[in-house]
Amino acid sequence: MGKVLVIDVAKCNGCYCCQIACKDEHVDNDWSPYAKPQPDTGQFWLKINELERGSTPKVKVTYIPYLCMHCDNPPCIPACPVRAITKRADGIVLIDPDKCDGCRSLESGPLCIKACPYNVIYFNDQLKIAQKCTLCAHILDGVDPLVKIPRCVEVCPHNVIMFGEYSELKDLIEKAEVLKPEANTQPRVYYLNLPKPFIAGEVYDPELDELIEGAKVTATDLATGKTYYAETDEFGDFWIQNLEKDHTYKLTVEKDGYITWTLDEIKTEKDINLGEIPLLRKR
Amino acid sequence: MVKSEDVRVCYVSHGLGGIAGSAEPLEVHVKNGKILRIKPLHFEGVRLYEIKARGKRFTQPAKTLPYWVSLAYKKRVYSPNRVKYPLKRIDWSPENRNPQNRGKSGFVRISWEEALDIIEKELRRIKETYGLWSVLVQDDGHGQGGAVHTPHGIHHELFRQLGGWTQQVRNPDSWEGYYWGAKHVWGMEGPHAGLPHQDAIFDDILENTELLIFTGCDPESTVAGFAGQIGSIMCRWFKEAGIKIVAISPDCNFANAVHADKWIPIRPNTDGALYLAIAYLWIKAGTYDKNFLQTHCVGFEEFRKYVTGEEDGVPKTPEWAERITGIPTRVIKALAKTWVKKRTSLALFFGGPKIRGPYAHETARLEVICLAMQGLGKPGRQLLRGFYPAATGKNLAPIPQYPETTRSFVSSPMARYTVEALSPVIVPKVLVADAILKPPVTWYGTGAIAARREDQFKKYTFPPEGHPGIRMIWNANCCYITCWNSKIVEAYRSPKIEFIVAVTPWLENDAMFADIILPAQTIFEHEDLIQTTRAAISATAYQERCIEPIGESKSDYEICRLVAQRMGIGDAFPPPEELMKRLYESTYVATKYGISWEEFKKRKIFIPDHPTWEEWKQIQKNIEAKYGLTWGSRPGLTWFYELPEGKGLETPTGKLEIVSTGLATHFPNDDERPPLPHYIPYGETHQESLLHPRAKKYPLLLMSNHPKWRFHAQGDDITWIREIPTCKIRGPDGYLYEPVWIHPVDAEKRGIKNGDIVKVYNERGTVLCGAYVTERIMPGTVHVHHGSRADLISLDPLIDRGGAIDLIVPPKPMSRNTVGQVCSGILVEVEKVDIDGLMKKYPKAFKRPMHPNLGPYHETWVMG
Repeated sequence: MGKVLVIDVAKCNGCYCCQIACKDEHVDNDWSPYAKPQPDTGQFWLKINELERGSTPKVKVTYIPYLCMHCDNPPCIPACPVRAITKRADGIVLIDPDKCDGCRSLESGPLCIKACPYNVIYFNDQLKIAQKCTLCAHILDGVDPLVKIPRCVEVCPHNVIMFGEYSELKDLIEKAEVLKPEANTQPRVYYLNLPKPFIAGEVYDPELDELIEGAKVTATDLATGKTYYAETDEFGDFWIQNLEKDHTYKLTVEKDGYITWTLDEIKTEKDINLGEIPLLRKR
Repeated sequence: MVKSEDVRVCYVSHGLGGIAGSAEPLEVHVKNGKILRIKPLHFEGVRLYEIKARGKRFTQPAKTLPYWVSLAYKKRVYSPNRVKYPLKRIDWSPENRNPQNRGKSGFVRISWEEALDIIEKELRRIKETYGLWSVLVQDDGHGQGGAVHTPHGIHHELFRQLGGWTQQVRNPDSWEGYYWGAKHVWGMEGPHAGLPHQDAIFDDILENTELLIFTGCDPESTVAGFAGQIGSIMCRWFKEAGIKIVAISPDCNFANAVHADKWIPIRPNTDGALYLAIAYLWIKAGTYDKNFLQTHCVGFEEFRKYVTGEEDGVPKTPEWAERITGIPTRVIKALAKTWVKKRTSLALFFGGPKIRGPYAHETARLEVICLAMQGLGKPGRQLLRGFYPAATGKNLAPIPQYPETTRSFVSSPMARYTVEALSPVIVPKVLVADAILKPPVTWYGTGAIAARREDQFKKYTFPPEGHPGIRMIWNANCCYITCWNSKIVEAYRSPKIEFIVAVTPWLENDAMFADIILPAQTIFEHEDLIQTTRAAISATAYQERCIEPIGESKSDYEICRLVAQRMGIGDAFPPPEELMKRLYESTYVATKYGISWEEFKKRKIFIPDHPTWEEWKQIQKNIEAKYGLTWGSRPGLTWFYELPEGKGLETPTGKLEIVSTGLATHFPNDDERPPLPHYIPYGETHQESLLHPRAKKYPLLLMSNHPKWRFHAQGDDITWIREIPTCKIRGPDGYLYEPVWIHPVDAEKRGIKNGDIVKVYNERGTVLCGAYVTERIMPGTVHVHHGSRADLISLDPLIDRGGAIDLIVPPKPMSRNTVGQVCSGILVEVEKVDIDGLMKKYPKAFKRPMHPNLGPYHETWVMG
């Protein structure tokens, strides 16, 4: 069935080595007929997207490696007026650097770039061609016997980007999701643990000026009724993880001896830090 | 088709931590004389270590885990910033030296012949007029790795052979608080500079620790420049072992952002107050190891009096600490409780103000006392430092490794200069500007990393009797301007300094202040021997010459040899291969495995096996059988805890000295580093606290920590890294600015938006930065990573466009009787800047040729 990638976002530490290894391979190195060199800066065939989440001090950063999805239903192929883009039997989508003329006769500019919902195709101002990730096809085809797998895959210290045959990664793919499924492009790049909103906070007793451990926090999805739980730790902290984006929740914080604290509605437009939540003692 | 014959496979050390050692190699592919790629090395057929703990096995992947700067190192080799040929300052000549223009005027190309002629003439003249002891040699400690050709120490050796010099003694710049402070509490001599030895420490941490407090700790930053990303792997170990990570730091740093379970923001350099409040809570509740304090420590009673307020009428309550640190009282209470309840260790890796802040030695000492109060060395209770396995243990490595491998780190004898004060005439790095501008200078302690604690009581003076003062400077890879402060500029321009030579591969940092610049090589341009000293895995490799030298560059070793030859002592520097062979023959590869030099050159790389877990435990038992309870017989400091009476530390009493005997004897009235550590917000030497009146004008505390995207001052010109959002921010003028991290609340107050060009300033000067408005920094604090290349717009007033934040740090040492560095935890204000206004005011500076992605480069400085 061909090559696929499964990217486990939870393991990424944001070292950017994948982004740099890709440049190391493709800047200044000509891998024709697979690809011509990309310019020194400005293109990111593999790009790390950084997401800063929450607010002081409940802050996390999530890093998401992002590249051409090598779609099975790629919009770039039909968009190309000179048929420079093809899909191989192993699933890799390639832009022929000699066939591509950068749509120079068109006023609109490169049509593939416009067609791609993932914005992973770049225009090379010098060579006047469109370029993107080749999944290091030149390496996979054994052009250089000293390297065996795509550079981004090899360099990662945490095995974030898993690469292989569909059959090898089937089990992980079953649990994974794709980006922009509504675009119906059928990507070959799957993601595990894409970030979903959290609601975090800190529960304390204002009379004693102490943090409260063991308070039960419940978030209820007002639309679906689904409930999520968390318990505050020795620092009074709770993080309710993996909620749904743009849903509205009711929150309660309960602890024996205290009046239950309720927040009727909160919408997860982004990650939420509720800050310091006081629990008042029952009289 | 690339045939394998077309491509050469070479190995280069990927470490940038220098000290004449290296980190394990990366694999380099070279095609048609050009570096094709740099990639991880796979450890084929090597038995890796495993640590068995909590029913799990911990090890690292069977490949090198590259540092991002090393992975992109091709960009340093081919940088438009390389010094390609010898350069001479256009307005310098022996007749007309124009010292006042150093750092301002440009350079022209000269031949090696002419360069060596000038150098030889000047050296002979200086020798005759002043004596060679008037030459200050600055040979910086960090940099590329390699046993023979690296710069570290070679230039000192050159002058020792020539007959004399003044040695700039490099300070333990990442460990100052421990060196000048903690050493007086618990000893820890040797290259560990006051930090505790780490023998087999993961055996204990992974098995027993429940809570790890990250303090001054970012394993996702500097570690990688020494040992690759092993620090990140270790953070995964902690997670898998179920260890909770609580990170105390002014910023949600790169490790905190992905690994910490909790971030406790703290104002820079106030950790001492936090430790005192925690001690207060423990004393009030009685929840501390009274027994251990009696049997293993001295001076607790005096400490108790200070903490409870009996000494000064100020009880060190959590409320008191909240006002200073910004940490809420209830968080301090919870931290104190949890530290007792859970088996807690501290973890640190070269952390910011705790090591390089004003009076940082007090913070480090207070930290050790807190550890002692909970029974330092009890199961799970250690201080974890370093995050790299190699060279941090006394008898054993932190991870399972055969002792002969650990012991066999042979480095070039010249490496000694980076850790020892060897010349009869010395100046500590921190006092160089004063030594030039206002001699004589006196101080205590050489500051050399390997110097013993007692040296800190010894008084030194420069210049010695009959010495004419510094008249010439030899700068090898010197980055004083980027990593210390601006006083050095005045010193470089002093008319007393008749001649300055810089030896460097790149036109950056102090190179611009030279009269002659000699082009040095990167590690890709010469053969060398790689012996890993700071690494994740021990490896020995033969580094082939990957490419022909760029331009007319020569290795530092070759340069020293050429100068030596001109001065008639060429024999002092044997042919490099001879030295390499000699060094190789004392490694375990030759002695234990019997591989000859010729055979080794063919093999190119050797990685020894690691012991099995059972063997590792037996090795520790053997140490106990032979030596009793000591380093390596137990993990970390557990051997010390198990001693019935805790003697065995390198202190006068052998015990952990809460009141330091040595300080009481030699500096009994030093209120900046008293025998009992105190929290000192400000004093005679430094006034960098929000509690000081200066804070009215400069109300923000600046933290300047080890950078993520550079290795100190190395690699600021790598375009692939400068594209990363947290590395540089492109201003509306197109220039790539060093980011200043600022909280939204502080930014809004000042009308600053993300991406604005702002000035970070105090009375010492102004540094321009790009605003990075983020929740990852606590309100009231700003953060600028150190090491960005200076790009001076004006010297008087001082305005730097490059973001070299150290230009505005205090020019004074850590405290009255120390010569430690202070470059973090200082008062500043931040404001939006009118860049158009500045451009009109300093048109020349802004019109210099500039590379669009690199900033200042070769053409900025070299004419014609």
